[in-house]
Amino acid sequence: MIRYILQRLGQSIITVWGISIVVFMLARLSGDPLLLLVPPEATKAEVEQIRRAYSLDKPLPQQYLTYVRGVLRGDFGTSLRFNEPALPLVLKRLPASLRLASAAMVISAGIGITVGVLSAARPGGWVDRFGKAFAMLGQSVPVFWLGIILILVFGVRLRWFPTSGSETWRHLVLPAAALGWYSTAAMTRITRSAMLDVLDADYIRLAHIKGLHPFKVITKHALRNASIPIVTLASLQFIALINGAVVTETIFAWPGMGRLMVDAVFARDFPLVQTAVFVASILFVATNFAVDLLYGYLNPRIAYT
Amino acid sequence: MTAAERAPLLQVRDLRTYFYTRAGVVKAVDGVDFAVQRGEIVGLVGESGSGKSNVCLSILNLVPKPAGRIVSGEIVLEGTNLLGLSERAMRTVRGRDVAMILQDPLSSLNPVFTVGDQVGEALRVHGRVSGDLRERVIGALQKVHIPGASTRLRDYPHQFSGGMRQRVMAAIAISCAPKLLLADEPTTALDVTIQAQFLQLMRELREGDLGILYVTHDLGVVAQLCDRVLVMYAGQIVESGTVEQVFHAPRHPYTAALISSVPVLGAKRRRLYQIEGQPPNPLAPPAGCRFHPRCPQADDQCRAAMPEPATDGNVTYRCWHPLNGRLSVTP
Ligand SMILES: Nc1ncnc2c1ncn2[C@@H]1O[C@H](COP(=O)(O)OP(=O)(O)OP(=O)(O)O)[C@@H](O)[C@H]1O
Ligand SMILES: [Mg+2]
Repeated sequence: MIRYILQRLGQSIITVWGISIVVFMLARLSGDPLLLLVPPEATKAEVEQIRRAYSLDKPLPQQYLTYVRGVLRGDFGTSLRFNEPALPLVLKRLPASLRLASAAMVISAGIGITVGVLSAARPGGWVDRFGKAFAMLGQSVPVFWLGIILILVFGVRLRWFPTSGSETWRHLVLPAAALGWYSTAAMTRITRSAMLDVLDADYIRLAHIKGLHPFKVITKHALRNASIPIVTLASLQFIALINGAVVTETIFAWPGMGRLMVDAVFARDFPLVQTAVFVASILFVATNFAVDLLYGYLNPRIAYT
Repeated sequence: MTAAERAPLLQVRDLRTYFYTRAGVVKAVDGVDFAVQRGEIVGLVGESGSGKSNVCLSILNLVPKPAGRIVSGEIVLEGTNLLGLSERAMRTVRGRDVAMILQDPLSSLNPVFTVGDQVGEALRVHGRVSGDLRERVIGALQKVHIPGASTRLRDYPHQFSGGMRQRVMAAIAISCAPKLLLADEPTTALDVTIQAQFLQLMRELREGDLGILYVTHDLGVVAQLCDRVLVMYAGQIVESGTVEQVFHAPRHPYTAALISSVPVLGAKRRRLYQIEGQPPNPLAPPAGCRFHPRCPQADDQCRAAMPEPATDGNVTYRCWHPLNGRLSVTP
């Protein structure tokens, strides 16, 4: 088990290192980064001065070392737009993003797994049929439309929840519902099909033969075996929810990473984009690491072989 | 001896289990009568699809839903008709009074739980733990001769060999000291030496009062292990009796064909015998005697009417023209 953890940790570190190279190269290869840094009316002398200031006159390997040294110190450069260090700008947005993504995940996993399990337990039953209709709806309704409907119904008319800001848990409800809606359908589908695969297995029959209550058979024997595809999808959804919540963040004025990143792209704020991409990648790697550990727990055959 | 003690452990009467499929009704079990005594091993043989597994599943009331349904019959275990029990009451019978071993030890154990957990599970749900559960689990594993039981209970199924996994299945089955054990082709997936050891284990387990219904394709196994044998064909028991009688003087041409088709000893594998003709279509079994299209001595009577079970001494058979102690039929 320890070996497995160390192995996965090593892989994660190598991945992060690879990402640092990619981010570094992207910034250098997509044209002269100086053109992004200097104002169009700058003179040649000014350009050269900035070039030296950013060490862009040195050979690439040396530049990379400088960059890595900076990264290790937590220095990711300065945002052009805000004229502040880029990393704190990104990290300031991170908790809100994590909070929104987690809440959306809880909603979509809670509903998706429950409906998926019940659908698989009785294929063609009313939960299954309702779930299918729900899934179709989930995938055909755009998030912005749903967000606006939620605001109009629960914010404006019923006044149950605030429609913008992020101060309390009540601010979280509507954006999380809007954001979670979409992945709920996917969670339902994967849970249903994973459960259907598993429910046919001989060990499920044996569990009934032992005299276990059907509820126990499903929650213990079936769900645990169906959990690997479900966890895999959930982790991918989680990453997507953190970075891809731009529309939701915009509609509900939620101060998350998605909006920061898109704004930075439009403002051509290249140090900020680079930092946000790096942080997002780290999150991705960390999530995968956590999921790998979870796999080891969920399926003993992984951990021991 | 009271009446209850003299009565068989299990008495099945006119059991009918049908599957209602889109293509029509499959009469998987169609009017089956038999009994299992305490301490007796009864063999159940027949071709693939003849309904053997569904006899076992019917006893546990676990016929695959929603297509499968027990449409009539009685399954009386020690005086109680199991078919009259509520689902809740039936759950207390499963695993406690009646246990079952499945064919494939690879897929029948849950890969993500330890063997100890799975052996202890029936004990836990049936509240049969007086004292230490761990001790009981180790005891069950030792009873089926799993070496190093006290450490191996922390291992997962994939860490066991096929033969050991089938022993784990047996440990699960006997953990609650059941009265009746249903073994559905438990050795089909094992190689010959492992199979012989498993049969030895079965013999040990029936010491005491355990009754065993042992489903197999292999007449050799029946000869070695069983006291009585039931021969199934297309959902019906076509012949039953003591192993000795049935093997030496089969009455039903199907039984005779089975016996004469067993390859000679030394042949690599003595299962899946092949006899002339196509197995019956389960959706539309032949009228009259179900075996008549494959029977060398079928006549108009066989084609017209289904023979009722007839008893001769200790043998019961369903045939208009029973053989007279001849082992084989001339084609
Ligand atoms: N779920 C089902 N739906 C429809 N028909 C079924 C179903 N399960 C079994 N049957 C039918 O019931 C009949 C008896 O099946 P059963 O599994 O009891 O046979 P078996 O004697 O155990 O065969 P085998 O030796 O292959 O295990 C077969 O004709 C089969 O096609
Ligand atoms: Mg079978």
